[in-house]
Amino acid sequence: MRLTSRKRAPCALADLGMVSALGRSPDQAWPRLIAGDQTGFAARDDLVPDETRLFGEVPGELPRIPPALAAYDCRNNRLALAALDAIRPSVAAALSRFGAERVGIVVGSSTAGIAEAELAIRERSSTGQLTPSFDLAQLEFGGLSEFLAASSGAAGPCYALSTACSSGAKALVSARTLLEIGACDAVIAGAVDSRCRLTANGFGALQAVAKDLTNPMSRNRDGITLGEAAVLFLVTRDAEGIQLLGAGESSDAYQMAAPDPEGRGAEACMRSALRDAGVAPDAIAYLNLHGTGTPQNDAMESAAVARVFPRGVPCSSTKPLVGHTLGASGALEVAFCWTALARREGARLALPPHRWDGEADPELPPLELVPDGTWLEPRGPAALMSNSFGFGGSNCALVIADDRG
Amino acid sequence: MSRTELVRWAAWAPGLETRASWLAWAREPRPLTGRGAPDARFLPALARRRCDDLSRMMLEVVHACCDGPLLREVACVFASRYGALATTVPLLENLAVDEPLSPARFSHSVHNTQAGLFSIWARNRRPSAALAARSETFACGFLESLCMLHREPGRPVLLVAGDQPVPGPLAPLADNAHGAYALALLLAPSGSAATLALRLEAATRGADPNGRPPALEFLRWWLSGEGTLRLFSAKRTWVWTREQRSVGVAHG
Repeated sequence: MRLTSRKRAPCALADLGMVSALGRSPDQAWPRLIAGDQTGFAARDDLVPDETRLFGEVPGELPRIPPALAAYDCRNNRLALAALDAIRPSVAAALSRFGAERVGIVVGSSTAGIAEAELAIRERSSTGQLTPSFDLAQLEFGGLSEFLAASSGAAGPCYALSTACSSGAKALVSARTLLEIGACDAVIAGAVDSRCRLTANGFGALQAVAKDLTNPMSRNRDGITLGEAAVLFLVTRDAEGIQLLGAGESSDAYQMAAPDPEGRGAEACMRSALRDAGVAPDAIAYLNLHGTGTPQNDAMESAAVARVFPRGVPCSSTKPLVGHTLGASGALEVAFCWTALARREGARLALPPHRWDGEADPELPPLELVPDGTWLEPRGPAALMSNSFGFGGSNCALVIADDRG
Repeated sequence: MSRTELVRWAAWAPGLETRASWLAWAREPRPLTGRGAPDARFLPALARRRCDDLSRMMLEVVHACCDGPLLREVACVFASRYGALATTVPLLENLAVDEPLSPARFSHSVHNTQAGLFSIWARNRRPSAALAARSETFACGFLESLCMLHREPGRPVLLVAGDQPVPGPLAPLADNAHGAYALALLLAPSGSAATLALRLEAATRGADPNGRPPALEFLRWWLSGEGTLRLFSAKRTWVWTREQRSVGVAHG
């Protein structure tokens, strides 16, 4: 038995490369994800003047950029390369099966290589010259997609989507549509966001950063903790394996930096994703919340979730484990759902717990926040949803499902 | 790959602020080197003050291309190579000397700033996308617009392309020196008139020789009545064709 969208052709998330504060692969991340491991944060004193901030950092040495691609050398692209390296065998198979020009790239980001631009501008303010190694290919969002094309050999349509914190989710939606309209036969799609001072100071200026670690849905929540990640899926038309079953997009039409307090945009995109997937709310086994830990997001998101899922849905925010990875978060949190499905043992589906101080906010409708050690036994296939809401009121919800049972 | 109907267009660049001036430009295209932005008086004062030149240009062409109920109904694709760089670079200059950042400036430094401003101004809750693809930004914006038409069946899609010059400190690194411009194309599911098809060819002959921003080369072609447009990049050729009977409404 298999869940199939009533409207859509098959769209398989056939392989996954994922690097985050939880490790360099789905295999490394999985035990830490279900254990609710919060040890992936580094205390950094070089992001915000006179402050130490926790940051969900990708551990260890990153792969080097080959000399021929030196113009693209920045931390963001090194993270991208680490994720690409993990799926090279399946990318190579797709390139030979379909031909390079039929394999596209759609990648989300909100930072690209802004960290290297920060260094270049700082150098210019002290010496009058930009750092010699800096190139606009590092800073442009299109430089990220171009770098992935050059590194993978994919020669199909290739672009970067940047819609703030919904970028990674929307990249997967566009990848599916490129397959549906016949523009590509396979797409390398996902998102990459990396450590930089701009976002650390910018969210600080908006008073949206947690003093300690982010504490979503708590009455004591006081903001986000930032993080970084690179996530790349190979997306194909295969009917087997984990499927991108539904997608919903909406705009808030409210404010640039704050969500609609009623959560109407969030509600609209969740309902639209369910319609697109052809499933009822009760068919969703787990919801990965946007769950940023800001007072505004969690208030509007919990209200929207309570309206869309009147009979409840097990849910958690995984941002207390990896941080808010901004442009990558939509793809990363779908990747966590993907990993849960891929690691399903028989019917048994383990869920990432919601890490917080356990003090519910009486102002918010109660949610079924996943406690430690939770697993479900869905009969047959399981459908999971992930929410992403970004600056400018850019919203996206995705539903993925396996073909077990 | 996919077909669409080009219903209407609007464009703005310094010195090319009327439809008549664009029709004349299309007959005798000259390089655009100016910078600046329209007044965008239709925006509320506070929103207008926070707009950089790119936001004003893009919202101006949206305003000229759509009105009434359409403004609330279209899904949008915003395509810009450099996006909010003119807003971001001053933030980087603040960071270089450890100055605090303006929260309003930071929240207007995202690549989807114009999509957000449009949605707020027009009270439009439809999906939108914002993308970049270096020299292929316009072509990929057109492709994503075809994707959006597919995702939102039966509804029109507004493609908004534009850029302003790379700001001062980074300008020496830019591989072109195009002036500021914005172009809006109102696209609809292919119907009775003005049908456009886009396809990709692997063959290439290198970079475009005329040096115009690809979005404006597209506009020149559309207004010329020629049957086929080829835009070349290092990896592929983007080919637009139209049915000859559409020529009569090409100025529509």
